[in-house]
Amino acid sequence: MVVTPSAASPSTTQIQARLLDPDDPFTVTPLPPLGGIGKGSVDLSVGRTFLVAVRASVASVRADAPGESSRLFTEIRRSGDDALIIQPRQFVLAATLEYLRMPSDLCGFIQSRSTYGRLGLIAATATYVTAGFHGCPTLEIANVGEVPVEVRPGDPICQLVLFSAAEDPNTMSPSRYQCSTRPYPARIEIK
Amino acid sequence: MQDAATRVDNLNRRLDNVDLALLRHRDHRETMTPGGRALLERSELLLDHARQALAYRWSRTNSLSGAAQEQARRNICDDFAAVLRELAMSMLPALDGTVADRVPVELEPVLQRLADFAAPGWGSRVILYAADALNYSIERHDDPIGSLAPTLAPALSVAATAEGPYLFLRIPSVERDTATLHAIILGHEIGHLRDWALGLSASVKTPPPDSWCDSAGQLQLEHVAGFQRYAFIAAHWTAEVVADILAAQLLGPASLCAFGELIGNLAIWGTDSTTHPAPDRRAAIIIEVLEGLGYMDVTELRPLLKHYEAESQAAAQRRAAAFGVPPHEADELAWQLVHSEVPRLITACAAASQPGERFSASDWPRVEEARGLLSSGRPCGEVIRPGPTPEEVPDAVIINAGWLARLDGMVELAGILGLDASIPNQTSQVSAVLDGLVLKSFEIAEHRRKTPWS
Repeated sequence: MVVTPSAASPSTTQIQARLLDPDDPFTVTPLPPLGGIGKGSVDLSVGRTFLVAVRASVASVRADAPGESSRLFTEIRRSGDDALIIQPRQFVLAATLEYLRMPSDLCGFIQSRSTYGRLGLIAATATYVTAGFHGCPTLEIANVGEVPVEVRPGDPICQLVLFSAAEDPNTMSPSRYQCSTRPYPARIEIK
Repeated sequence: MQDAATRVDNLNRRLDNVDLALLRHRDHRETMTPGGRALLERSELLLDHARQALAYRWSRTNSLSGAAQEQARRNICDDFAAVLRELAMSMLPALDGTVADRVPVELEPVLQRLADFAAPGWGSRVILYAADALNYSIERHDDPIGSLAPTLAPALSVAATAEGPYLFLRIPSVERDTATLHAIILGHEIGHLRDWALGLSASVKTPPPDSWCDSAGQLQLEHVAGFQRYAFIAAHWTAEVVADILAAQLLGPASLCAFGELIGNLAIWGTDSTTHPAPDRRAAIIIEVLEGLGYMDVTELRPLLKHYEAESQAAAQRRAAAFGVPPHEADELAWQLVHSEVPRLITACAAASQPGERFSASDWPRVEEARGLLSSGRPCGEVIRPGPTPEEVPDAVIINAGWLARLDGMVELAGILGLDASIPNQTSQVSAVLDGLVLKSFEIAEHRRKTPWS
């Protein structure tokens, strides 16, 4: 399925109204505070499970062999308000705390929030959220800065930038990451 | 018996070994749960305290000589063996299981909240840990600093401020993500805690059975051993039954569903043990509680309850016989006592909680609403109420919705995942997704409790 987002982004009022309507198919759970809903975007925070790349565990990885790449990661979970310290040039997968249900008329991109970006933290490198997606999107977090950065579950490190989509709800096929609540390494082979 | 000098050398070596084990945890303390870290700090303090006290008390025996000195030193070794046991047999195994990626960390704050409800005023600290055993447990450990220090070092001015008890809540390691099964720990194990706090099972007395007494009402000599077994079994079985009753009142049908699945995995449906009555006896009591709470009138639950009722209908009348020990009439007499107390215990358990604290059939529409969310591939930890206001969903609603979705919502969820729920392998995948949604629901509900929406 290829979706070409139109340039149109919903307004703050439109997003708030949709998220507060229990019958609207667009949901973000837990509901972000109203202050976290901006022009065409919704703030998202990081969850408590991380897949941390351990460089010593594999010789190399290839995108066409995702089974190998999963060996690169070790799961680390944070409880309470415990921070994960992301070292310079460390790469970590995480999932958002928020669970998204995207309707057929909206899609989005996840991008880093500038506050974290200026610390050197890139929160998402290729996170396109399709219309019809259900789940906690996996974030690809990299610290490209010079100093370690602390990340705690619930920190609003990124935002979902929304665009209009025009998908037929009857023809949308489920994502292979549908209903995920944790981060996942790549699951498919690239053709 | 070794002499005191040899024993103290061995004791010091064991304490060094414990120190090394604690050091391994200390080096990775950032991977432990908050409860695990609190336990680690307490263990380190206890070890430090014990070493100081041992050296001090040993030096005090220098003024003695001969047999008196040897006896005094042996007594010291005996005292400190208790510290070693506490550290090596209780605290270290729990610490090993408190690594955050071995436990459902989403449930740790939920369990702490439930513990505070079950035993108000105790100030207990939940230590959630995973172990290889396939069952669940709760153990109360009084703060070792508070309980052991005064004995070990009466003359030392080491800080010995007692904290509230530690509650070691154990889950099976392989079931970390099986959220629906964790109804056992949320219900039955927390039920034990509530029982300890309220003294419900302790209210059941175990006088000698009349048939074992003489005309003066005194226990006959030939029944002394049997009476000990009778009293032991009656006390343990009563405690299990009370925990089951409280779990059913706290969590409703989820307590029965999780119990049935756990027992099914262990394949001991009709088997008594010295510590637990046979699961079918317990299931019959749980059903009695659920029926009293009105669940038999819930159309979608009736087949499930009727199924378990049929499976356990002969249990109460079956002669009790603990597995693995020679048969003895004490088992049957104990069961008769426990069974006769069930109606009173159900009433006492209900009276011990406020009406709003019990989960009854009138709450079921909320479960159906939450099940609808889970079956449509969404967590159910928060709902938007008119206002509009997001509101956290209670624990009992979440766990029952999880079970209801497993019973009656898998096809819909499978469709959302592009899977076929009639294929066993794919059913397992759907179940895993559902359990993920249930754990996420607990996390979201806890987030909402902690962070009111603005």
